[in-house]
Amino acid sequence: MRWLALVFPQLQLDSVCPVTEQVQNPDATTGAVVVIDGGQQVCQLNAQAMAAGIRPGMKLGTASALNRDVSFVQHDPGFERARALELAEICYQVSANIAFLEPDALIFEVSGMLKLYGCFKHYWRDLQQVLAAQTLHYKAALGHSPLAACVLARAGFCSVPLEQQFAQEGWLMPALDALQVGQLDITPRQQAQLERLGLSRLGHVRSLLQKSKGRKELAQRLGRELLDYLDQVLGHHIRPLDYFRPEDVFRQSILLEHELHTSQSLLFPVKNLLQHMQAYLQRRACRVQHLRLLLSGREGDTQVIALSGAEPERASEVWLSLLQLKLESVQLSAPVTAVRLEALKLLEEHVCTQDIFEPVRASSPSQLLGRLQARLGDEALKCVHLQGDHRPEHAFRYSALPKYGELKEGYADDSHYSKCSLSLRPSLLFEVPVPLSEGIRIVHGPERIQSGWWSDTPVCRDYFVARNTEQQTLWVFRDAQRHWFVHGLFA
Amino acid sequence: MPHPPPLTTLQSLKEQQLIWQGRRLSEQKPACLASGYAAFDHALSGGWPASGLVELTPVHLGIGELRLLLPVVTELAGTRPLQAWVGAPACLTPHNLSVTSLERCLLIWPKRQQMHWVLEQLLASACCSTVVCWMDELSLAQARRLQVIAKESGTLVFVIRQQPDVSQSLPVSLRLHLGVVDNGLKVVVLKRQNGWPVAPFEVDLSDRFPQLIERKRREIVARQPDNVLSFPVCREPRGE
Repeated sequence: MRWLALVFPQLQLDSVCPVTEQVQNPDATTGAVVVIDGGQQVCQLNAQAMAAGIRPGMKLGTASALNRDVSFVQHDPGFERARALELAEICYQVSANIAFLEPDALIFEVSGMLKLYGCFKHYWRDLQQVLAAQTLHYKAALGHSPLAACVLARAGFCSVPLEQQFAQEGWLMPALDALQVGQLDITPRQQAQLERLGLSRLGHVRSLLQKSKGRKELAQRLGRELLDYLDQVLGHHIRPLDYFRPEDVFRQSILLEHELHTSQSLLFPVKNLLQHMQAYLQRRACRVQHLRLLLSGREGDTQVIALSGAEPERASEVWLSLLQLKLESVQLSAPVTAVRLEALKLLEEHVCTQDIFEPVRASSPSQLLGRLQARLGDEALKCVHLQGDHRPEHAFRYSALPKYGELKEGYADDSHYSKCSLSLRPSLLFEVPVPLSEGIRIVHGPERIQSGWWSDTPVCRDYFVARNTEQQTLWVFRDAQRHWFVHGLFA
Repeated sequence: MPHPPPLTTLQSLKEQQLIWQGRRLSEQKPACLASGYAAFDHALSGGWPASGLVELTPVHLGIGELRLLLPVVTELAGTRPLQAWVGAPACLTPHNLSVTSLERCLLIWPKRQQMHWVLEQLLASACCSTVVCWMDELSLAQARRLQVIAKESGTLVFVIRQQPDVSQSLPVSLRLHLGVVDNGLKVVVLKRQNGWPVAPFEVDLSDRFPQLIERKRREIVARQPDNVLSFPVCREPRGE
């Protein structure tokens, strides 16, 4: 008994009107909600609608004739898929191997989890607790193959509690045998095919399939596809499943009750999102380095605020303080009605160590850089690298984003350059040389630098160290036209 | 918040100094840091203060004020993950910053109103071995605040000010006026915490940076007698 199936027959309805409401006043005729599919037929309905006499499969007109106040919701498969994905994500805390079999059904592999839980009872109890928080209708059944469990669950085979189902296996085959072919997940044409052969129940099919001659005959009449399906239901062979793996992203959005006009008032709703994210990351033992905040306006326009920390971080307070700094410089383009938080890249946690005897509790350099970056922007923060070029302007390069971890990797190159370019250079270099306009005395030089003829900025200069009347030590040069310029200061 | 009883006992034991704590090891830092210049160390009985603000007022930029700092900045570079250079008046070239640890150098050009906030963050994080900043506006309250944070985090901060308000006396650890002499700097100590007044003295920078010092022509010739090659003359073959 390896497989447990959970079928959610009215996933969309449960999201539209909560189960609690349905349970509290099942007799009230008001508040009837039905979900209609593409063919304008009722496919999901709540207890109130049921009480009004509406049945699944009815036409939209019939339903509204039975109850004027019934409200309609268009069936949205995309929404149901997203919701099922969400449910899988939630159940993933309890159970490891989860697969989607049909859009509204989840398959759990039980036998693997028994090593952890000891017995099925405990496993099922935990799963029920998780599902109870979601307030939705579901049907559950066990089976010896994924499809069998799914079919049994859909048929509503709940006469035996799951714990007993798990303990004894004897009930399974009679239950499967008793299934009408109409309860299987097959097309009406295939169903008619089976019924025309006089096979109205699954038991009939099974007894035929057990004989090799019967099997051959069935294969000829029904086709490979249907036979394959029936084999899977009966557990003759089991196709490997694609197990659900949670995505390595965090996405959550909230709809705001009121429109927000100032960026600072966003902090409160975002705080909630960040706390959810923290809990999510805690479960995954992950951190994030980049966050995106998408602010949607009434007109559907979206403003994106990107937030980057210098170090992967998960604490909501840290992100909130970064956001606070960021929001100081952000103007809202339109009033905000919905906020969405996205962390598209989760990073594995790595623990950093600190000296136990260090009296000053230093925060990590990356945290410092993160704060500075958030407030000042990338332009104000630079780190410097040496480059192998004789032209003074090109002998070094400022790079915008000093990432602490990456800098260490580049270390070897820099030291190599620094060893070979330890010539006489000023510590302060002007970006644009200033024409020399005062009397100087040459102290050292000349040093001719002629390079870069292959590039846009060729250089042919004689450099001197000089002192002016104010005793500043200047780095001056004379170009090919014999004009003099000051290029730096030996501070 | 009141401490629970067991902690109070611990606290009282601590106050009576009956408990030895390992973190005191690193508290015993030297009070002074050698500057790398003998005259400087001698005059200030040890060198730079270990932490706090040091205000430098050179008569002009570019007289060798950074050359005075470089030895101590390089010396301290290994102690903490970063060193910061804030608000430099021109591009800082890496050749002179700190040759062994370029990846630790953090160059920041904040806006004027952000300057103070940046300095506070740098000091409070205790990640920077030294902070060198160029700024002219520094109020008494700001200086006091920075001084406290710098002392707490044990960071040495050099503030280079071009147009200081002479009448203003800031609560800094050391305040120096730098003038120029032929082979280095003339240092006037305007203020010094925990020390006696010091007479103005000269620091010779010529040993570390000989090419930048103006010398009299005769001296150069006297020092380098060997770089004149004699014109090759034909010698008679040996052994005859």
